[in-house]
Amino acid sequence: MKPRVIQGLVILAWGVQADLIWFAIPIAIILEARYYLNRRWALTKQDFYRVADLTSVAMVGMVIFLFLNARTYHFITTLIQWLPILFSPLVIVLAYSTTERMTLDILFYSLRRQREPVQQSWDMDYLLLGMCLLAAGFNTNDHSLFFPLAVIAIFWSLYPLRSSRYQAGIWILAVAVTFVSAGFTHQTIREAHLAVKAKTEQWIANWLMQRTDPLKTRTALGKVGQLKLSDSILFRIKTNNGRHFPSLLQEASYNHPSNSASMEWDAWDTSFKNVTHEDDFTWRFSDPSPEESGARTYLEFDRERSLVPVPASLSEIHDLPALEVKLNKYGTIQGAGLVPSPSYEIKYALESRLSSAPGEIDLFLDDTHEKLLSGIVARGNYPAEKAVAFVQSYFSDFKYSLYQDDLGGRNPLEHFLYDRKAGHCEYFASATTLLLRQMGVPTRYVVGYAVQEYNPTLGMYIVRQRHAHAWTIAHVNNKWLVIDTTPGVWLAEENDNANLLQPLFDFVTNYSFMFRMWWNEQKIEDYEFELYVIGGLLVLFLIWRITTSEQVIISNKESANTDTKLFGKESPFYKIETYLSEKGLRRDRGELLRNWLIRIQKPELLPLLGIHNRWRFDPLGIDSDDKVALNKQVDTWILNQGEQRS
Amino acid sequence: MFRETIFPSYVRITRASQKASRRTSERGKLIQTSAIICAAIGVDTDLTLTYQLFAFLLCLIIVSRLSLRIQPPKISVTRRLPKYATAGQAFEYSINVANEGNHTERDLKLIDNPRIVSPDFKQFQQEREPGEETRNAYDRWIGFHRFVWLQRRNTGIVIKQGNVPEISLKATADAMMEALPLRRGIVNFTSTTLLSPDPFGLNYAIQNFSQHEQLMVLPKRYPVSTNFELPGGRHFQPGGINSTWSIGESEEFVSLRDYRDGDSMRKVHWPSTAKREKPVVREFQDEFFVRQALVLDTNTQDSEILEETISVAASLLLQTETSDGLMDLIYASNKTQIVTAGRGYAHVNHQLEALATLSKYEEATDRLHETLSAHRKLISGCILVLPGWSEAQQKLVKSLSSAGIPVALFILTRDENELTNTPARANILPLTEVAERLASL
Repeated sequence: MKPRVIQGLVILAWGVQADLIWFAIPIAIILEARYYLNRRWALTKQDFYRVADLTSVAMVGMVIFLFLNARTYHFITTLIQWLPILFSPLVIVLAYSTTERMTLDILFYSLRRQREPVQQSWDMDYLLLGMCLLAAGFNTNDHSLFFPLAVIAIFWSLYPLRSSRYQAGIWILAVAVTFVSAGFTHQTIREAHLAVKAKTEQWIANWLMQRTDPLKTRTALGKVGQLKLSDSILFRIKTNNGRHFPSLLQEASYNHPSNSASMEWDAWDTSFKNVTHEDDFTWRFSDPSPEESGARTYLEFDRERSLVPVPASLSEIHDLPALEVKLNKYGTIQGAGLVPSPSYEIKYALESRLSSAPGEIDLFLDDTHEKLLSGIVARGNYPAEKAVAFVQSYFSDFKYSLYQDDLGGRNPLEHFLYDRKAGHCEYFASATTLLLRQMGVPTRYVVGYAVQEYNPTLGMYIVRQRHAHAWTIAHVNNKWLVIDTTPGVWLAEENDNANLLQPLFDFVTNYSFMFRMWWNEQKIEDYEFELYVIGGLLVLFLIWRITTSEQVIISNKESANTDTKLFGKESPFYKIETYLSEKGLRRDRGELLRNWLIRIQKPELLPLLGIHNRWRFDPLGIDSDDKVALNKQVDTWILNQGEQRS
Repeated sequence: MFRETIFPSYVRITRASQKASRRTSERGKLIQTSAIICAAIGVDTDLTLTYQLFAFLLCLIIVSRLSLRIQPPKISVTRRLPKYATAGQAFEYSINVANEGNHTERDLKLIDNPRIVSPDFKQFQQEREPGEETRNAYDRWIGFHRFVWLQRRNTGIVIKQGNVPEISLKATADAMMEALPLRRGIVNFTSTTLLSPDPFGLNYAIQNFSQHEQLMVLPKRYPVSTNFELPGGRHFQPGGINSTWSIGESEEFVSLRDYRDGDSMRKVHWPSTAKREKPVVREFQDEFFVRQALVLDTNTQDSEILEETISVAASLLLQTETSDGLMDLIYASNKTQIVTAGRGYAHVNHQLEALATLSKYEEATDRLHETLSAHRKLISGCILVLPGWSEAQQKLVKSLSSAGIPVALFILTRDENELTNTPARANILPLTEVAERLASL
C-alpha cells in the first residue's frame, strides 16, 4: 500500500518549510504521476546499486560542501533539510521500476558481499515521507502547521493498514486519544526543556569554565608544589601590520575579592548586555576610528568555552558566527550559540575602551586584606601616578617562581608579601590589585594571555596554554592602564619549563594548521564549474543506463496482473463467441465451448470449433491455409446470421 | 577469553530480540525507530520541531500498546504435524484454530515455536559457519553470526508466521503453516503463539498455547540413477523370485543330468527324457535369497561430509527398496547396529529413521570391520558408503573384496584429486557434485 497523495503533500510541505520548493515541486509531481502512468522499467539490482552509489556520492559531496562552508551553513540542519533531495533519485527510480521494495543491500554497501541474498527490505516511499517530516521540522518559524501536518500524514498512511479486528469507531477513538495526548506531551516537552535549559545553562557554564568564568575566578594561590601548564597551542594570531599587536589578550576581568583565604575574584555586576551586530557575523563594540588595526585569530581546538579572548582596545569582531555576543561592564565578551569556527577577525584601536568607568566596588577591600596591606602602606587616597610608581618599585625586587613551598598555615598573600617574596602571576596580580586599592586607585583583576611568541614560518603569534597570565588594570587619569608587576622573566622561565619534544610537536601542529588554513580557503565557488560538470555527467550516465533498460507496461488494475498469455488467442472463433454473447447467448464462466454450443443448439458450429481447438491446443499448430479458411467460415457464418435476422 | 565472557549474553540477546520482534509488526518497528531518531535529533527544541513528531510517535506507541487489552481473542489451537519431513524440503502443515469467543475473529496470526537449542561454548568454538571467511573482521572476531547460524541449525527448523483465516462464532478454521527443516533428526515443538494486532497494526498481543510434539526429520535424499544395480544380484532366474513368499532357501536351475535313484519324479525333465530316451532330471543348486548390506561409516570430523554421507546412504536405501531381497543397514554408533528391511522385515522408513538420528563415531571403521567379518557369510553384495579414504577404510574394502563379496563403493570427499589408490569402480562423490554424480551412475 503506497502513501498516495499524502506523499506529494508532505514533500510540498517540506519544500515550503525548508525553502526548497523548487526541488520539492518536481519530486512531488514525478512521484505522484506514477499512479497515472503505466510505464515501468525492469531494472536489475546493478541499476539500483548504481543509483545508490550516486546517492552516496551526492551525500559525500554534500558533506564536503557543508564542511567547506561551515561558517555559512549549520551542518546538521542543512544536511537533514537536504536529505529528501539526496534520496529522491533512489525513491523515484524505485517508483518507476517493477520492484516494490528496496532490499537493504542496495542501501548498505556491506551487505552486498553477503553469500545469501538479502531478504530484508524497506519501503522507500515511507522512508522519504519520514525524511520530509524530519526535514520540515527544522524550520522553527512556523510552529502551528508542523504538528497537524505530521499527524495527518502518519494517520493517513496508517489508515489503509488498520486491523480488521476492530470497528472503525475504535480506530477513530484511538486516533483521537493519540492526538490529544501527543499535543499535550509535546507542549510538556517544550516547557520542560525551556525550564531545564534556563536552570542548567548557568550551572553548566559555572562547571565548565572554572578559570574563565566571566563572573568568578579561582586563583592557584596557596596551592603547594610546582605549578605546571601545558605547551599545547591554544590559538594563533595573524596580524595585518607585521608584528604590531597588543601584548596582552584579555579574556575576563573581575573586581571583587570574594575569599580572602584562598583568593577568589568575582565580577560584582553579573549582568551582560547584547552587542549590536551590523551584518550577520560582525559585532561592533565602539565607533570606528581611523587608526584601527586588524588581526585574525585562529583557534586551535574546538573551544567549549564561550569567552572570546581579545585585546582590551577591541573595536570590532568580524566573522564570529554566534547567535548573540554579550559584553559585561568589565569588558568580558561572551558568545552564545557559537558555531564551531576555525577563526575570527578582530579590529582594535589604540586605547582600551571595553571596560566601563570605575565604581565604588573597584576600591573595595575587606578587613583581612586591609590589615594585611597596612604593613606596607596605610589606607588612604594617594595620587594615582605616584601610587602606581610605588607599587611597581615595591614589587621590583620580588622573584618569579612557579614553585610554592609549605605556607605554614599563613594566608598565602601574607606569605607572598612578607616571607617568600616570590610567586607566579596570580600572586603579583592579586597583590597589585589590592595594594593599589589600599592607596585609593580603582583597580580590576584581569585574566588572559600574553602574546609573545612569534613564529616566523607562519608569520603569526602563537599563544600556548602556559602563556595564560593575570594582571591588573588601574584607572589613572580617566584611563584604564595595564599594571603588570610580574617580573619580566616569567615568560623566559615558563619557556624553560617547556617540554623537550615541544619543537617536534610544534612542527607537526604548525604544518597541520597550515594545511587546514589552505583547506579553509578553498571555497566551493571556486570549483563550481567542475562540480556541475561531474554531477551532470553522473546524472546523464544514470539516465542513459536506466532508460536503455527493458521497459514494461503495467496495468493499473491489479487483477490484470494474473492475465496470462493465451496461446491461439487470435483465433477468429472468439468473434462468434462475442457475437452470440451480444445476442444474449452468453457462455457461462468455465463452461466448455463444446458444451456451450450444444446447450444453445448451434451444432453447425462444431466443425469450426474443431479447427479452433486445433489452433489452440495442437502442439504442431495449424497451417496458414486452415487459418484463412476458418477466418472465412466464421465471417460467413456471422454474415448469414445477420442476414437471417434482417 | 573475551568470547567466553560475552558468550552467555548471546543467548540472552537472541531470546530478547526474538521476544521483542514478535510483539511488534514491521511498521511498528518503523515507528519505534523513527521515534528514537526523532528523540535524538529533537533534543534541542529551539532548533527543530522534531520533538513534536517524537511526542506524537511516542503517544502512538503507548496508545497502541494499551489498546491491545480491547477484545482479546478466545480461541484454542491444535497442531497437525505430518509423520515425517525431509531435511532441506519445505512442507506445509495445519494448525486447527477453534473460536470459543463471542465474535468473529479476524486478522490473527500464528507462530509455531520449536524448542530453541543454543549451542554450547565448545560447539561454538569448534564449528565454522559456511562462508564465515567472507564476513568482516569484526564479525569474525565477535562470532555472533556463527552463534545465530548454529542456533538455527541446532533448532533444526524454520517456521513461517501463518495467517489465521476469518473464523465465525464457534467455528474452526485451519491455518496453514510453512516450515523448512534445516537438518535431519528430531525436532521438538513446544508451543504455539497467537498474535492479535492493535487497531493501528503496530503491536501484537501474545497468547501462548503449550503443545509439545516431536517431528522426525529424515536425511536429505538425492535421486539415484535407475541404472544403479545392487552388486551380486542374480538375473535370469526361472520364474523370478517375486513369487516366493518365504525368506530363506531357494533353488536355482544349474543343468540337466541323468536320473539317479531317489530323484523326485517332479524333477524329471520330460522333453529331454523323450529326446534321449532315458530319464533326465533337472539339477538345482541351493541358493539363499539375495541379502545385501549397506555399510555406512561415520568416522569423520567434517560435519558437512558426514551429513552428505548419510544423505547418500539414505538415497541408496530408497533406490534399492524396490529390489527383491533383504537389505541390511549396518552402521556403528557406540556398538554396531544392523537394521534389516525388506520381505517381512521392517520398512525402509525404519532405516531412514535410524539414519536421521545418527551421529559421528570415531571408531566406526574398526567396529564395522569386526562386524562384517562375521556377517559377510550372510550377504551376497554390499554397498559401502565411506566419508573418506583412510587406511582403515581401505582395509575394510579389501577384506570384503577378498571374501569375494561384490562391493559398490561410494566415497565422499572435499577434493577429488586428494584420493589415491581408489579402486577402479569406486564412485567418488565430491561434495559439490553429489547430486549430479548420483543421478548419472
